[in-house]
Amino acid sequence: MKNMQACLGCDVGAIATKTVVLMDGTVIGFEITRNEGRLVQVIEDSASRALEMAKLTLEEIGSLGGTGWGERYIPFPHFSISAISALARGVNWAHPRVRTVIDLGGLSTTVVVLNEDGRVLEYRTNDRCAAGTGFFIEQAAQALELGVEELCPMALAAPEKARISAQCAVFGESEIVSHLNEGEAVSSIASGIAYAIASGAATMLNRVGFEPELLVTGGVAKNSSVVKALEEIAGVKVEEIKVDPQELTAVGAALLAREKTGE
Amino acid sequence: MIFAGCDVGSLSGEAVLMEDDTIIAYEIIRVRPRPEDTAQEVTAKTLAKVGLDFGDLDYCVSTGYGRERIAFAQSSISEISCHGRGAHWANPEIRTVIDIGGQDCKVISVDKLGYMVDFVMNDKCAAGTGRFLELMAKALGVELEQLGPLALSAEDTIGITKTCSVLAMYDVLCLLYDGETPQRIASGVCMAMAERISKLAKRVGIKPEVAMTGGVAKNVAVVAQLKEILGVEQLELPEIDPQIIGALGAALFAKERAMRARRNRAVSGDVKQRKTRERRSAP
Repeated sequence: MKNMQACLGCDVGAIATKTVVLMDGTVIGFEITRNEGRLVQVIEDSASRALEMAKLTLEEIGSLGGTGWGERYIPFPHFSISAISALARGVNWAHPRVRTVIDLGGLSTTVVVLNEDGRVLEYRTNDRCAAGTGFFIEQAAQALELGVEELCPMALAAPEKARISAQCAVFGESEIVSHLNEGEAVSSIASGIAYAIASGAATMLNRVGFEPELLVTGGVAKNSSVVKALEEIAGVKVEEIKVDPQELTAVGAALLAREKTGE
Repeated sequence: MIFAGCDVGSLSGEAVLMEDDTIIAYEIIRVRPRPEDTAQEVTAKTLAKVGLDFGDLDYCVSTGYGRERIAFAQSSISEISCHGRGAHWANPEIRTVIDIGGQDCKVISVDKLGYMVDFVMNDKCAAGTGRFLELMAKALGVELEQLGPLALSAEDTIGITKTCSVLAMYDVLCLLYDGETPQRIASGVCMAMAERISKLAKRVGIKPEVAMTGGVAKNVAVVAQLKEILGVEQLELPEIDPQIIGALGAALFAKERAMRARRNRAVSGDVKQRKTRERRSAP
């Protein structure tokens, strides 16, 4: 029996799949699964875990929305939602006062400017180059033999920062290795990485021309040293995010799917 | 006299030993973490092949991105000049050298003596470099050496539209997932590489003859497709490993510098002798 107040959103990113289940506009199930192994299986697992948390079955969900780079691999019937619309809707749901959002994803960076009603005024996506993305930060952590979550505390405690140009995600890794060989401190390199990513993000924000309030989302937003460096470089305050920075696109997809079902 | 050229790149290190005007030994190794260690190891291995050691070297020139940190080299020269010089030695008709290394891509224009006149390069991004092919081979689950033959065995090709190596790698994984054949994907990868190189080459202008050097010149499919795009019949240098051309150029510069140093010594020696004689003959 379908519950029209229950909706599910699935955001199949390049590195991870995010699934949320909402009931009456509140998240009651959320799951992040890394895209390892068969993608269809990853999506099925992600959805079933989110549903389990919500204590619902797929049959009970009133509307389903799918989005993201791997949306076409979603094995169950769903509305296909554009990633930009989904992000905008999700941000408006969590932070209605936010006018600009920069999403630092696994393989792409997106800036969306919204109006008071959460409508998209302008957007820009870089999906042609992996510099400054989640992929880069994961490679960087690996080169430093650290977990991704260990980078941030190291960077925040660093007295100095190493110069990382990071114009290319592949060469960034070699740059880090040469710094290590030169005897550079790991903390300075971690700080250099944060500044390199932030400076790319700042360039993109300035190009679009952003309005406060500003929010940073996506997996990279979990690294607060990047957010702090962005505040410093762009000279702007970033709103403190109230939800998981990785769930908003999936939430937006779910909400937009529910609206479409209602039509 | 024995001259050495040592080229320390981002992915591999090469050394070439020359006795007068003949290559007597060469060696290629995968890089060690520090450029100085790569240089030491590859040169020692090359010397050992012909029963020589560092003391037998009359002059050594280093090149490549780690060239300034190699203590046993008397001087260092940019790899751009070295590739031009080396390719020209192998075939004196060469006027354009396309060198694709592990982390860069250069097109060098040389004069009739093999000296560099102009060049363009991309070292900002892994697109169009050896690194791109390495990542693609990894995504396809084949050895780098297999990529070219695999591509040539394809009946037709498939477009790889992403320039960024990382994004192209994800595209390849998706294509495999969707059931595309590794042969067609390999062909698409090599085609993308050839197109990227040709765009760079056209910026500097292609003057015949053209040679391709560096590790990527060993990929038969990239070479074949590049020939077709550029409309040239030959890109291979005769009877020489294209990966040692930088080190070969360095060895040729080593010879030139050693000869110049000897001439200078001889000249200043003459002056000294004459002065001594003059002093002796003075009353």
